[in-house]
Amino acid sequence: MFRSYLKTIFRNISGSRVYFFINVAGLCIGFTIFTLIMLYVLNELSYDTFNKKADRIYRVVELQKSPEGQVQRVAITMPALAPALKREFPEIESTARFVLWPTVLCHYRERRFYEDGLAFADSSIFDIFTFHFVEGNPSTALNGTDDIVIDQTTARKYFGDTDPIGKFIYIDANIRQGAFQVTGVIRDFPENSHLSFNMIASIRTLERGLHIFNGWADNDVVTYILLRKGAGHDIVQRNLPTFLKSRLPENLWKGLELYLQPLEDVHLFSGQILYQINHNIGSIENVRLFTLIALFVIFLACINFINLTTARSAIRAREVGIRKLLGSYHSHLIYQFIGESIVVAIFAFMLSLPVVEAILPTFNSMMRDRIVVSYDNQLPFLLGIFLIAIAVGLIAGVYPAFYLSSVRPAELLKGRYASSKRGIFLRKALITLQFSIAVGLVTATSIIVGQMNYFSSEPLGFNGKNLMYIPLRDVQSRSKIPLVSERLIMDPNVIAVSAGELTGSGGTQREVSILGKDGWSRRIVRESFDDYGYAKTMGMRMVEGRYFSRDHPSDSLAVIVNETMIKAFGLKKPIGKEIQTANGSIYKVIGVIKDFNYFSLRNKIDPLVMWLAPNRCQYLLVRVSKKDVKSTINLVQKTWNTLLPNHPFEYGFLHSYLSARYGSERESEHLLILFSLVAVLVACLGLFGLTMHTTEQRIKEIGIRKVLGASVTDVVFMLSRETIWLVLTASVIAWPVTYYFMNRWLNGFAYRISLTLFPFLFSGLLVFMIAMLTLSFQAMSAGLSNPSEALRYE
Amino acid sequence: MIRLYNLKKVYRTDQVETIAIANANLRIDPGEFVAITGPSGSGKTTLLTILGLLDNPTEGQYYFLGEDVSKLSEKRRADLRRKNIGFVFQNFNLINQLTVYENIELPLLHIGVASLQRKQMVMAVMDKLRITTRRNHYPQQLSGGQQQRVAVARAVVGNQKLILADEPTGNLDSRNGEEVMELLGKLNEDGATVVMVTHSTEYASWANRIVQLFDGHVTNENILEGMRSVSELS
Repeated sequence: MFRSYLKTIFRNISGSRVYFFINVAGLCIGFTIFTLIMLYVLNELSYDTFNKKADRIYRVVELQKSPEGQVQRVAITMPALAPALKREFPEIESTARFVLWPTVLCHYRERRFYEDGLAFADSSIFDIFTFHFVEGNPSTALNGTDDIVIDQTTARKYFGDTDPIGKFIYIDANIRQGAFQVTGVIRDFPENSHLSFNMIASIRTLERGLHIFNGWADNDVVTYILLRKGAGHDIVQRNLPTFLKSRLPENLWKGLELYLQPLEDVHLFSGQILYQINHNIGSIENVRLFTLIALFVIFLACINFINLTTARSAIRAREVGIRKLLGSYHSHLIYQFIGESIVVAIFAFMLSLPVVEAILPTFNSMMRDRIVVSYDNQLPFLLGIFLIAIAVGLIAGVYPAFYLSSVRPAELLKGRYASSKRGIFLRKALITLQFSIAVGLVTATSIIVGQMNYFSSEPLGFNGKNLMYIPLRDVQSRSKIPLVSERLIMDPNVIAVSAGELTGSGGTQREVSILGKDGWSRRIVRESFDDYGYAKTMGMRMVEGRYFSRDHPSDSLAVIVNETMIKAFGLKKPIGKEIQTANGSIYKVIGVIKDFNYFSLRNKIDPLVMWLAPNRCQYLLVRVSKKDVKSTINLVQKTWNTLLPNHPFEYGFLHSYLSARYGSERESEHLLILFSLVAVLVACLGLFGLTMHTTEQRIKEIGIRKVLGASVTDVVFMLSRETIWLVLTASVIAWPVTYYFMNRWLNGFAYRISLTLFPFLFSGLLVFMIAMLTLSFQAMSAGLSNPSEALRYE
Repeated sequence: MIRLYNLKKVYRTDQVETIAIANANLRIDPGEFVAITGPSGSGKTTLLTILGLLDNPTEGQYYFLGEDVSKLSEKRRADLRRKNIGFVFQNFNLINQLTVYENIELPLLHIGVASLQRKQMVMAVMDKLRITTRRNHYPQQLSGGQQQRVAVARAVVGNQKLILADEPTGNLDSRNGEEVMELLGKLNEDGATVVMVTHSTEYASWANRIVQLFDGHVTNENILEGMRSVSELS
């Protein structure tokens, strides 16, 4: 019996290849997109789960409220917090602190490298997190001052094949210049770890070097806690305010809250948290968005399947009737049709595997190589997708199965089985839904593209083009700023040279006070440490007063502020006003600079204070001419190498740095464009199939109409009229929904485009045109056909 | 074999109620060859549908092989159908995706006949109906007469006791029509009960009894005295 069903399935398929192709192609595209997105999503969800005690680990996050009600979350906490928490709370089994150090120059004999993955940490990290020691003993590895544990890649880089244990790496870490003894080698951090370091040195080094390090005054460390088995984190969370009150003076605990963030949330739920040490930060919004898209595409393919199968049911109805007549049970026929759709789904799934394999590298690079997705050794994953394929087959097959198997055999005798009027309404509703999704995705995409273009065209308040930056990693390199500048400016291709902060970085923040009419008013502002000529090199404009100048020796006690700062403090005549810092130093305002985007376009411009501080400048900035950029880079490198032979040369261009800052939006943008096109394609595949079917069904009608004098245009119009209505209805459904969600998305940006009619009309029109293109091919051929041929079917 | 008592079949659409069969009483005994005739819309096909257990009557009783089947579930009807009833249609109703052999084999698959025996039964019936050479052909590759022979083969392959034929000659030329009638007659001689719906008085005369329908009523039952014997003709 089963074989007989199987035979009809396969012979049916070979008898209607186009429809089979449409079903398989749609599902294959669906599975491909689904598999790719699931690889990405599972990778995002897998962050930090490899830690054996992951369910008991929490990061302590600090919530700071300013008197004006501004809230910011920071991942850095007071150094004394961790030991105190452990003493105070019996629920806490262990605590650990990390400090990520800025890039340092390290060397072992003649091997010198800049390292940006150096952290200082408590030895308890080995109890809390899961590390794989290749050499060394985790319980003693970070016990002593100047102990260091390195990963395998770093071990090979410095020591080659020799045993690193007991050897010394020299690190120039400002506060502690000296030799660190290698006490352990660990396996490289897995890609799905939010912590990722090449070197971990004992935090005791810092405790000795910085006397204030054990206090409550500053936020320097990232704190993690490990709860005892069975202990609830809510008990700890509830008692944290009391704990803070008992530890801190009132001016510090006021406006301060602590909360425990589960380790497994750190990667995806930290978008709003500042000063993190995550090696990359994921976004739960993206995970949700892409999962939704994956489901959409599969859903669209399912709709195609349901529509085509039910539309063509008249053709299958005969077979069903005969089988029932000969005594087949209703249930057997349901199994047959569900089986058939499962066969199609499995076939599509098998086809999608090589397609995924082929697309994977491109997909990876589109995701900026951040995600290591591969399905080598991913049998459970593939099995999961396979089961989903079967489920999709089941879902897509259930309705057609019940629909088809409900044919009553008595109708066979009466010759009425050819009627396919049933289900037409459902079919139209499903197509409308498909096009709604397509219109929605295209609208969303064009709005995202609009917002991204707005970013790149929005005046930033400075000129980011042809601006080269070279990081200044230490005191020695900063001391050479005047000399390097002097040499470089001699070259005609170098337009200006200075040093300072990189726009887009956001710099650091501090609290300052200004004396106004109503006494001192205090505020947290951003700050930037810059050299003479910074404003000119960056192409920034002064609104009032002047910039720092060598002609005014007193400028070391002067500041420049931005327009927002003036507004925030309500200053009428800012020049000459005095600004006081927390340690009591007083600076005079000598100029107001035009607002420029210092942090991110996602945020509003904050009040900013610029200090003249060549010894704290983070970057050397070189404005180069457009001509012969390559040789200018060579010149800068040569000059650098001559003056700082022990410092490897690194450089970048500001505009690339800035565009990388919007990487996650760019990523979403590219993928959304791709996916919405795919969605439209899948929807059109279905439309193509249905039109083909309708045209086949109406071939006699078309013939008669032509005999009676209908023109090609009449026939094309007759066949496309319905689609016009469907796309219009779909657009009307999709527009408000998309408007709601995209408006919410845009509200996440301080500087956003306003929503016009354009993206909505554009997407409706685009989808309509694609649908018409799909239709017209068949409508035209039907219109052009010889009516006698059509009527011969009689 | 078949007893109908006051059988009624009513079709209801939104507002219209159509009485397809009104108070029909009928008895058909094993081994009979009955022709049902009547003008279009007189309820011939509806009657056949009910006799074939494809539909339940609205009122009245239908006894098939001594069992009241007027209110059976579709599943029970399917069971009775597959074991006892063979169908032959005007438009053959073969499954286009299956070969001649596979089409004939289908009822045996439903009954659950073992593979070897199934093969023997199919071969025997194909041999009897002279279609063995066509065994691997698909229905579309056969002439109308050949297709109807396959349909007849399918109707009798499981030794069904009752053959229901709905205008079996309607789509055939006279030569092929004669041939099919001969086949039905032969099957009747071999013991099968045949009930045939037909427009044609000529083909009706092959039966030994004619049941006439008009507007859903059984108006006349003629026992044909000079019933033609198949053996006589062949």
